[in-house]
Amino acid sequence: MKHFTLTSGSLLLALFVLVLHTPVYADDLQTLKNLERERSSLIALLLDSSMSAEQRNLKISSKTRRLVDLERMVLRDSRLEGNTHTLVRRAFKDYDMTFLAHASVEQNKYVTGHWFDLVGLSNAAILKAKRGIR
Amino acid sequence: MKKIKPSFTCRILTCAALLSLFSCSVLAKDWQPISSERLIKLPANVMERALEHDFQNSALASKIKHVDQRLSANQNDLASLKSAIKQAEGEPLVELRHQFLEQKSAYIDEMEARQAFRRDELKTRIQVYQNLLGELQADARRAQEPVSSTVREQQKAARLRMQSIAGQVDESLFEMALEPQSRYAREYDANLQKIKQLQQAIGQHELNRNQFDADEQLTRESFIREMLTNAEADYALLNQEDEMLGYMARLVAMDAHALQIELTYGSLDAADEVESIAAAKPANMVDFFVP
Repeated sequence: MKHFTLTSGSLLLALFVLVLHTPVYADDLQTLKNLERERSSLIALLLDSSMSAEQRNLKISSKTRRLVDLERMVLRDSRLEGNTHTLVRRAFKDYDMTFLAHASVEQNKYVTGHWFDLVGLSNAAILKAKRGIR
Repeated sequence: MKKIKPSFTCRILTCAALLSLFSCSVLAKDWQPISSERLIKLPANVMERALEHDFQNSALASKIKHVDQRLSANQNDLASLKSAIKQAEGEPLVELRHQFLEQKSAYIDEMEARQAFRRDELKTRIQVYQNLLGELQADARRAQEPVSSTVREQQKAARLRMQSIAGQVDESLFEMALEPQSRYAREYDANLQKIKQLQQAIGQHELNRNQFDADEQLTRESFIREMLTNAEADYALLNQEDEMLGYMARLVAMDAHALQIELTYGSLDAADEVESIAAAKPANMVDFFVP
């Protein structure tokens, strides 16, 4: 491009100044992001209808082990102490949902059952459900 | 849409970069102290040493050392000249008095230069301590922020919940026929034991014990505040010393003026004259006239 427009020049300048003065949060949230990733893959596993119940249970068991470790890593991570990032605030606002593995033992439930309860899914509710247009 | 040339954009970006660099760095000085962000991470007692070490390695400290050496030589010269003046007479005495005045004047000049360097040093120290206090206070404010304190409370509660249930979680994993502890959990527990031993050793370390006064447990903030007060006291003393130097300079000027008058118009030994006049008064001469 032969010429920059005034807008693109200003945008570049703004970006430059922003990059220089923006605090870095990325590394501080790494453990929490790992936990969120693992939790979402566990939930994806729960909802995966392509595998048998036995296969699913086996995979969930191994995921639970990993989830326990990740939950402990998050709770022991001093970088998250008092961090007001949205991700941190949301994670600690709902302990039962974020720390699924520990909360499920506390509730004396299997981790999948605990999650279903939290999102309001029960056998009765599913059986009562009717297919139709909302 | 208005078009602008690339060179113009480049110029804007260069100006922005220069401005940013200017805002990030202070103008070149003889002492660029260690940043308060780095100092704040050190233990309170090491903080002072680190700053002192940083200062001793600066150009400002070497300038003060050079001035001190010159002042020491100057002091010796003044002492030897003073003793020489007591023994000298006539022309050499005038020469020595002249040298003595010159040395006194040189002392005042050197001392003024030293005061200026010390003033720079103390101003920088005060600035560093004020920045440290500012950062501590900002940390405290952040900790008291409603959002931050809520998150802290939630984190504390979450940690307590996890600790109370951790044993049961491990048991349930064992029941699930999984490996009772992961590599992370095993190594974390082993490290935790070692960390406790290290913490105990740190608690008993001599340096750690010296960190606080025996009588008064100084907090980090009060320690910095004390250093700031000391620096400000030194600064106030410098001002008082400046006043002394002012009086010294005035005396040297008066002495020089007196010497100049004496050399130009000769010495005025008024005491001898008064004595000779008093001796020649009629009352004292009566004995010569009475038979």
